[in-house]
Amino acid sequence: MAVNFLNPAFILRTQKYRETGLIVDFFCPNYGKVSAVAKKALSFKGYLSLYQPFMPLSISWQGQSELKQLISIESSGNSVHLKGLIFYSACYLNELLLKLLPVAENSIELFGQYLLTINTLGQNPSRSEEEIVLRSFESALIKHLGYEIGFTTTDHSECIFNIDTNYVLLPERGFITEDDFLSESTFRNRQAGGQSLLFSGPHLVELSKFGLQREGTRKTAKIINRIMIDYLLGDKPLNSRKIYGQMLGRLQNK
Amino acid sequence: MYSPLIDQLIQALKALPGVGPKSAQRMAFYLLEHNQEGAVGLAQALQAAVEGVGRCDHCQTLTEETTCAICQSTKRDQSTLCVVESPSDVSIFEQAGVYSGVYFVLHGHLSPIDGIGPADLGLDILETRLQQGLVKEIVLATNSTVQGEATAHYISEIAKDTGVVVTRLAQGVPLGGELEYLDGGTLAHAINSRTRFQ
Repeated sequence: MAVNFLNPAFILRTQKYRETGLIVDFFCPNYGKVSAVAKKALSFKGYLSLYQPFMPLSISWQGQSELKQLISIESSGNSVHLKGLIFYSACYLNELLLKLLPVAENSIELFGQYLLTINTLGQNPSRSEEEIVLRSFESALIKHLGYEIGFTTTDHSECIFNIDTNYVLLPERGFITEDDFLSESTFRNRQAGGQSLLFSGPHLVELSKFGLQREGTRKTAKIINRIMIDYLLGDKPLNSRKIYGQMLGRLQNK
Repeated sequence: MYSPLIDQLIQALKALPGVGPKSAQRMAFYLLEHNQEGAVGLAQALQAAVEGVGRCDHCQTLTEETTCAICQSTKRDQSTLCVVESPSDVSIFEQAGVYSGVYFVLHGHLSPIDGIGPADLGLDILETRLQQGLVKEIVLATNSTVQGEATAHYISEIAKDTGVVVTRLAQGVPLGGELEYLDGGTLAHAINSRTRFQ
């Protein structure tokens, strides 16, 4: 498939290819994840600075196989400047996309969310602002992958949770009441349900009502998203989360 | 396809960067047919290097000594420490002959996606060294990439509490370069880090 017209793109990761080339994983709105070989990337000094993540680019490529050949690359804006822990958060986004995003699939909405998230991270946000954009991006990715968690009725008029009920999140089914879970669960299908966790009704009602605006709701959303992402990742490790944890631990010990 | 020993040699040569099956085959036949003496020398040198070369206990560069020649030298300024990503970066500085301090080699850069964190680069060792008080200036010479910048930023953070002066290699227009051929990112760096003209 040759894409001779320029497409918006961000670089997710680069890996060396032979002496002067790179294999680059791009994120494009119309094609999802695109992997391409840039044969002379490291010898063509003038364009070296383009092969960096967090810089808006325009690219075109050709090739029939999954690994394309990059034809052109140019900058379409300024690189987002990410310092300190924010850099690790941005790398986390890239790793999620790298490991979960399907190849050659329309991802316009998710690309917009990525752009918003990266730009917010580049503006030195407060911790709560950072958490809000990260959780929003995770939710958008989960939705994009077909696992959106419902919080309201289908017409969005009512919250589906009761304040006096506990719920269990099953990644492949969403939330079910604790009673339903216990009544239908044999030991075998509890095992098959994989990772699940008990959530209290008031916490879910609060999240449904106030979104990510409260510290408590952000914590609940973080746990929900983590369960979903771990389920979607399967046995693929999430390196950036591990490194982020180390860095955070270091800062807190100082 | 070939005898086991030739196959083994071709496979072994493929360990070299940029060498695929064809190149490995060409190299193997060249060595066996035309340069057996060179092949023996190569094998002995490789074996000796792999067995004898380790990391300098001061700067982590590759050396067969416990402490490398640069770190041992009394002519070097031990109070200036240049942090680089690889031993080849040390060679580039030494060939240019523009730097008289000592080095610290990271053997990479921070790369969260690949799971490479501070401990993997020996940054805990660097921190201990900075706390000892002998180093007065640290020159950050990590690559001008997003990961290189993040690594430089991390080192500047650990140097903060030690009173060590932190400097970064200048970035911008290369010598002999024409503005017409510069990309926007490099030009932005150049204008943001402009200095008073003397």
